[in-house]
Amino acid sequence: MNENQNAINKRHGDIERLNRINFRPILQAISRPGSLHSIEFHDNSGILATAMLLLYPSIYFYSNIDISWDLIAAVTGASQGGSNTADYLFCREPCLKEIEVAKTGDTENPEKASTLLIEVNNFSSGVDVQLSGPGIKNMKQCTLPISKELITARAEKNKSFPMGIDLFFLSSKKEIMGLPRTTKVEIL
Amino acid sequence: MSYVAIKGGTDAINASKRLFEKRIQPEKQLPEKDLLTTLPHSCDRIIAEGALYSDALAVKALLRSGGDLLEAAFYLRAHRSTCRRAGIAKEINSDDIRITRRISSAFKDIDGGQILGPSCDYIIRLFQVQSSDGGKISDIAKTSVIRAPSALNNLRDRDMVLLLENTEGEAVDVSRQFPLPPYPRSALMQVMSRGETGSMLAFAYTSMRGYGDVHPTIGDLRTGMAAISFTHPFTDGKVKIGEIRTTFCETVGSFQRDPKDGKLRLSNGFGFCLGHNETRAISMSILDLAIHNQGYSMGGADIAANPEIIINHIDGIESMGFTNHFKLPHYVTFQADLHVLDKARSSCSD
Amino acid sequence: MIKRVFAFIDEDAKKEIRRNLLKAVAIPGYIVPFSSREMPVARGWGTGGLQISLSLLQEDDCIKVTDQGCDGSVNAVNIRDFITSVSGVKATVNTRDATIIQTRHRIPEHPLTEDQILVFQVPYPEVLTMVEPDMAKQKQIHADSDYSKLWVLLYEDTSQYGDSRISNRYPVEINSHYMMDPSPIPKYDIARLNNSPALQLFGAGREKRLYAIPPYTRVTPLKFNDRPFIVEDFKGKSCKRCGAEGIFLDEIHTTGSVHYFCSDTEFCDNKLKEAKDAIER
Repeated sequence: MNENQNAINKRHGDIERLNRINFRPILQAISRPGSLHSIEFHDNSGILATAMLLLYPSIYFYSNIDISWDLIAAVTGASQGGSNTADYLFCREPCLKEIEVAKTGDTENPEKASTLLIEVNNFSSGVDVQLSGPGIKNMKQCTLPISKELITARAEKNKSFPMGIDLFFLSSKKEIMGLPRTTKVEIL
Repeated sequence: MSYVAIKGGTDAINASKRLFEKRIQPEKQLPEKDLLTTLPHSCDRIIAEGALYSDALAVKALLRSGGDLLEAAFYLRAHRSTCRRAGIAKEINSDDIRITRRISSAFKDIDGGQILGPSCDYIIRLFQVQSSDGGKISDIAKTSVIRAPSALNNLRDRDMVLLLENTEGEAVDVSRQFPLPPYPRSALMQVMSRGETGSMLAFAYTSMRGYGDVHPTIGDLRTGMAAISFTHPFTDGKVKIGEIRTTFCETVGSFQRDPKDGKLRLSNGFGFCLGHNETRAISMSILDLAIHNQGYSMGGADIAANPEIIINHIDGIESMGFTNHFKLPHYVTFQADLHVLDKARSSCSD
Repeated sequence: MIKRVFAFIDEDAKKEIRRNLLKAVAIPGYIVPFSSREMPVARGWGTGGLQISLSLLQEDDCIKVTDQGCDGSVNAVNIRDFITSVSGVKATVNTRDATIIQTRHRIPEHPLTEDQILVFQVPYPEVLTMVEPDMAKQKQIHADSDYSKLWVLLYEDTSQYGDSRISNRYPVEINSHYMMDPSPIPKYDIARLNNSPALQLFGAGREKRLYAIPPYTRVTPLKFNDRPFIVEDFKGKSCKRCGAEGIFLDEIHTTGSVHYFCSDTEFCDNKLKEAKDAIER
């Protein structure tokens, strides 16, 4: 019993450590749109690592990725919801439908909006864009690792600030990029 | 003229802490178990305002704070922040508690009887020692387990008591997510149940004294032990994990038309706190009555009936902290004030 | 009985703060409600900033805590000691060495970098408190972006006193949308919020709100176009201790005279040290 408890405590401690290591890059990513930041994986997965960081009781999440979400719900205390009610959506492309129905909050409570975490292969291929907005010094050119349709759908969701959705992209190379609702994306 | 003098400095702070410790003389302090038994009401107030049911920590806090009850409650609140919530207990029905004291001022005779129990209400506050009448406490009072339904249940059975509509579903927990206006009743009730006793009393008093229309009658006031139950994680059955000291109060207000069906019914308010503290529970029930039965009050805009005022000003840990923060240095802001005053004075004299 | 948690607050509370910080950055200048745990320092003494710092901390951080420009001030000392004792992270008074800077009422003089996060302690998060105390109405005003009440206040002050009477906590507009309370920093520091390379986070523990200014974000004070924004004026004055000019100075009034000293004591110490090193070289 005691050994068990110690093992559980240690595992909790490890996850808490992972969470604090990963929070800073994710915070920097949303603060500096279009730039890449390194994160650590959990069980070889960036999606799992961010799920551990972001999920807690009273949070709803959704995913179109086939992993054992029941276990993650049990560990974090978060609940699974639909793509139109979830606070966090863990996705792989195609996820156009998910973007279309994700919550944008309302004018009084714009924070009650969804955040999408999209798993991508790398940041070298995709759509070349120019970004501007808060967090970006003047302009920034980069490659967004998603389809043009998704970029258009995102712009549509974010057309009336402060309502909108926030995005993160996670690559298999342990990198994260953020795209808050404030970022203007111009396809080059 | 010394530049350093206006800055605090680590040494001065440490000396101040040592002086405080010296003042409360920890080496002479009473044993913790004696404090709990001889000053139960101090501990109960600490538990209620600290919103953490722990006798052991309440006593430690009482000693650490040199007897300052609000400071002591603050220790408990701070400790709460390090604790993970294990789960949500089953709700308690006040009808089911093991009664230690229970009175109703609405009815002379009630099912289960008026049980005075231990109370200082009837003590004449004189310092000279009054000789004990030598009377014995009956064995019934010492040993029997008393449970009784609320004294208002008779009225409820006759459909004379208004039942507020439950529009919330699940109760809010303000320690997890503090709600925005309009405030759910559960949030207000939680904030009040951990509010500062004196603030609760003062706000409730404004209502009962004239700034409101609440001259309530105490329908059922009870203290006693309430069983706490959890759902067993493996068997899914209900398991009792312990008992806590509690105080409940139901007060009856004036009648008016029930918006549901237009019938005349009595409004009522509910008060609850951890530990035994009747003043708190009565005050809370009056505030609940004033806030949630505004149609029954003369002045909905009055202080006690204003949920915005009550929810934001009744917490002692918050109001005490902010009041004391004025002792922190404010010389940058004050200097900025003076600069603006100078500019305004020269502008006005132009 | 009492289990030690890294950085004091339990993990779920940290997660909630972190979630709200991400939202705050995504919606610059918008005040996000959070549950706000009680801290072992009193409400109103920096518990909002403290909760943010504790949620940010990791083992290799180096924290600086400063109060009205002074790291030796009572509350700064207390908060710094508390943070280091529950996390084991390094502490510094040197602005340049810090990864996280928690501050009350000032922005350090030494320019901040992209690798730093500035955490402000906030007593009143709501810029509208002075014109509208009701929280529901405040929310509506922000939703409608209708800040006419603030403009009217500014107009009345300007016509009666020549300028706004607001000396600190001067209302600022973030990224041309939300009006925001910048915490009680002097007007001198307002311009320094604008286009900062560092991420700036704001925490109000008692009022249970947090908000943010992302790096490189436009911050402008509430001001009529034809009126200059006048900040505290120290022209012709210099620090009596280190000789610095062109920075924010503390005024020390003694019988018959006024002396000036750097408000940012670390800046002052560094300037003295540099001068001393130069002489020794």
